[in-house]
Amino acid sequence: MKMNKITTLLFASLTMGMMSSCVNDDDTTLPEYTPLIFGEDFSGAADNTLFEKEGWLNFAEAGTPRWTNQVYSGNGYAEFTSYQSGQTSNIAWLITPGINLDAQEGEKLVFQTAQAFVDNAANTIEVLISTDFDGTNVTAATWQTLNATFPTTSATYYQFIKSGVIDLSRFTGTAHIAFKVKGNGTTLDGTYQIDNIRVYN
Amino acid sequence: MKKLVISILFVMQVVFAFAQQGALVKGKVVDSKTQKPLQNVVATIRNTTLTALTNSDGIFVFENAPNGSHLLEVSSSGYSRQILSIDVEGQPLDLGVVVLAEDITSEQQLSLITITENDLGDDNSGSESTSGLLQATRDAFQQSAAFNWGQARFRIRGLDNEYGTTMINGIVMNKVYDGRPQWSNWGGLNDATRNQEFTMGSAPSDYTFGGILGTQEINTRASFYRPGTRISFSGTNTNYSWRMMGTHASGMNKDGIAYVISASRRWAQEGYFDGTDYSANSFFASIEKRFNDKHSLNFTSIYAQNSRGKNSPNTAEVNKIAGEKYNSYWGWQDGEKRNSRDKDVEEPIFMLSHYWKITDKTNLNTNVSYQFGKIGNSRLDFQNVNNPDPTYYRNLPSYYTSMYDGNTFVGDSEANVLEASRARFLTNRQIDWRAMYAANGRTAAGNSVYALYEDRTDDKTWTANSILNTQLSDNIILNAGATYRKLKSHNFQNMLDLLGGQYFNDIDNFYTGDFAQSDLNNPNRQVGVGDTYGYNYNLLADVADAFAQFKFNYSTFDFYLAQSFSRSQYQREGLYKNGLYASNSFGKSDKIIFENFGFKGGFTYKMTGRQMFDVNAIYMTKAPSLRNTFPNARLNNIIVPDIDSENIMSVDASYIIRAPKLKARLTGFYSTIKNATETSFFFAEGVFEGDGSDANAFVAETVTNINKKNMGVELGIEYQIIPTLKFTATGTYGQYTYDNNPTVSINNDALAALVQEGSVASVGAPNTQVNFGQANLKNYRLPGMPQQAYSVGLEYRDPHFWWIGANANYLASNYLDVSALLRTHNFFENSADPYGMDFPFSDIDRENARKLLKQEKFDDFYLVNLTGGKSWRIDGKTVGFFASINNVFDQTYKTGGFEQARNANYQELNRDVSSGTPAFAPKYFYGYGRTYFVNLYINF
Repeated sequence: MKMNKITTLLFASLTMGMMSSCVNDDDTTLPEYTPLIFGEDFSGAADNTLFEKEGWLNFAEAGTPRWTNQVYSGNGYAEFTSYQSGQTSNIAWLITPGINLDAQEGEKLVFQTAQAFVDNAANTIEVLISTDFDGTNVTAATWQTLNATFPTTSATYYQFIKSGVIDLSRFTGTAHIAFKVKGNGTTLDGTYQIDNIRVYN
Repeated sequence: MKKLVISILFVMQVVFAFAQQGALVKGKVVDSKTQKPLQNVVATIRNTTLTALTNSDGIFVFENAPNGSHLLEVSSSGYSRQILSIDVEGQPLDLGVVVLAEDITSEQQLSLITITENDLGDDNSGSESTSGLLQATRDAFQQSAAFNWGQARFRIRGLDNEYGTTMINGIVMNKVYDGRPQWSNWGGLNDATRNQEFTMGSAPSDYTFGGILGTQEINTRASFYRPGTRISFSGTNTNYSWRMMGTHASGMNKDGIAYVISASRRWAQEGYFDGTDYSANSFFASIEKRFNDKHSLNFTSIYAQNSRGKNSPNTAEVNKIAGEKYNSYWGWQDGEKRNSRDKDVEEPIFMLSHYWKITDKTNLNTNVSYQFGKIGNSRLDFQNVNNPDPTYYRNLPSYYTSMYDGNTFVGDSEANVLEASRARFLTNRQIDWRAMYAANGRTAAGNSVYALYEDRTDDKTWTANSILNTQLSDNIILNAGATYRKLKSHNFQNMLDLLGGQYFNDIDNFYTGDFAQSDLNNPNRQVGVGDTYGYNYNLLADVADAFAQFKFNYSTFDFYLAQSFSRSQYQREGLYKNGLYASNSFGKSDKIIFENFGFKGGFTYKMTGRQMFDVNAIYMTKAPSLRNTFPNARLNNIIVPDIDSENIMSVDASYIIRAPKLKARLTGFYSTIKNATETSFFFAEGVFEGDGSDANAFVAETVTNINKKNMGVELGIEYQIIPTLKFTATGTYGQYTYDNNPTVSINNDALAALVQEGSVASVGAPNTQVNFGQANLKNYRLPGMPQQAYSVGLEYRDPHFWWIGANANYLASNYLDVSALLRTHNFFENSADPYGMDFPFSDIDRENARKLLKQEKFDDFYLVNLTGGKSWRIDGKTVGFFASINNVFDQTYKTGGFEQARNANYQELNRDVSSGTPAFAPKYFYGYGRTYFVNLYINF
């Protein structure tokens, strides 16, 4: 009789043990990684088309040319040139979607730029950040310039160089990062290219 | 007569004897069909050491059987076993006539071997069914597992064969190298290896401590064979077409000599899969000399030679184009199909056994065994030329339709669609031997750029053991044993065929200078047929183990306790000084020693005479196999860092009914294997070298600290509806999973060159193991077997010696073997990121990633099998036939498969898969469609 009880108990505990450790096919986990806070490779778009992407703003403050998609050797990137614009002033902004800088600490920014035919230091590219940009009104927002390394006029054409690590930790809220090129259709008519933007921590 | 025939259909008969004194037990055994006495039938009183053989009059005698209730087992190969319940109470007991009927499952065993020998693909595939182990079982569930589910690669409790113990005369036949028995070492000798004992799970065996899967003991003692001759001829369409087998057993003559000889030949020009040829010749001889009542010597020799062409695993794309029977390993040569991947096994076994009956209650069996020979697996080698594999990814349409130009998908471009429509594979599906001969004929120096070689393993194993079996008191039995095994395993690359060229350069053409040399002691060799090249080393192993087991038997309660200890010592001895590993390839490695122990115990509680409750529990540690200890054994002496023994725990509990009409067993089991190490070898491209490289690199992947959890329930019911009609229902629901996130490392030989060139810093011998950290494998399923299986069957056995059976089976939850490498952090890291900061990809969609890494579950399927047979008595001879049709409805089903590790990261895999025509899709093995097996036999 006693034996029967032990028997029942053993069976019950075995069954319980099994029930509790049943797994479903979806009970697996992905390998761990720290996702980028923001990343853009400019891949997947057709060559030589206007840059348009959800959340981004491609804005000409002066003149008409705007940023375009380019593909070279399978690698996509964004490009702006005022060459043959016929205009006396060209100012083009490429502004990222909002990036949440409150969800983590110690954000950093890297990106790559290249130039071609930029022969005058006044034909500039800048990287700026705003935490009060409303997504549409570019000039009404407060933009602060960030220190970054850009190709100089003597840089090899089309060779991407790294920006260096830019500290964003002092900013809070939702930030937009902007790449702003100034040029014209005559003397300041070089080409700038941007690729591999990363915000990480 | 008819009544008698019917009565023997009940396996358990009850004989009551009321007696006052004396303890002699005797009986006479006759054949059910002829009513003639049967000689050399084994009678055993269970739970004692008492065994008796019948004489030429069919009579067995136990002079001094202990008082009490016992089970008397009467068995002989080829006959259904009889179990009689006897009560010995002092007086002589004459059981009268015990009738043995021909065993129909022994005919089924003949067809079974066609499955067990067909181990899949390369050596690194662990996907082998456990049905070979189960041949001799009587349990309804295990019979389903062996005969009905074995073809679908079912494995009992989801366990690999290395967790079972297969023995011949108590000598363990599991190889030290990988822990698995090599079934083909005695393949084709079914008649001669039919005396078997089987235990399930961790239940006690009289011969060994065993593992958690079970034990199989094949007894080849010549006097235990029933005298007679048996000749059979079979036809089938599985891995071979024809088989002939003849066996003769002499029985013990007046000089105390008995012998058994057996021979068989199996062959096929082409087996079930395309281009799989088969040729096997097997010989067996066993001779026993009985010196007196106490001493007997037996010498067994087994020579089984087996050569067969293997079949390839294929991607869905290849199978769609070329069919499920497609095999990429063969090509036409001079009007014949020549397979480039042959497996040749030739490992004779010699065994001398001494049987010593020290007292009535104590037996000592001592064996010495020597096994030697070779296993060769052939394949093609090539240098600086195109890969000859017809399914090489660049030959397939998917190569074009999954193409990216940088980051841009171009698989749907007009040019690629056109190229895909004229991909080489569409018109050239087989190996082009002629082209290889032509290429070899064109080289300026006369060397071969294509050659056929074999990976050879020449083992020499000495084993000595002693097994003691003694009855300590009326209720206590002691089994104890000690075994010593010494292995020298010579592994090398052997040149088989230069394919028309004059010599082959023994260099590794991925490297230059010294790095390219396979043997710096003998550089720049030009090798010919029969020469060793590439790699050359010995693996040395010394394994000693001992066990002791006490069994306590009482009227309502039996229990046992056992323990074991073993010591394994491994060492590698390099015979070549490899150019990449000049400092740690030549000479002997460090010795590595594993000391292991095990404890187990269990009890059987007999609630009533017909109901039992049985529990077994075991905890043991197990040394890693030799193969898993040296991660890059072909090239260097490195031992897997921090390698340690596996920790194994298992519990099972069963409720058993043994009534005259109903036999049933319900079992729950739970086992864990912790800290396992697995190494796998494969040829891969682009794991390190990057895209575009034609490097056909040999990659060694080591996964350490693997935990596995296997649990489930098993049910077996056998119900005798009427004496001639038996119903069986069996099923198992299992869940076999990885239970943690193990660690993955990959050996990169190229690093050895970089380290020594100074571009990567290192001290001492180059460390080429690249650690990829943990792989998120927890809760992924253990692959390569159905985790659920169900069967119902009916068997009609006519008193006029014919029978027919049918069963329907449902098999489910078989999963693809997942790549551990794909599930490490490496998967999300963008190695092409310009910043070199291990950034993850910028466009990771977690839902999509989950889809990409989801383990593929194969489709469930039904198998319907039919069996039948009839036998006749003609002039004192038994003539019969057995026939079976498996998978009657010709279902197509996958038995296993694996992910290709080529696309090791999110972006590549996502692109490959999202193209709709992946170039590196998983490769699958398929089961047989409809097959038949017909056997004609004559016994006299």
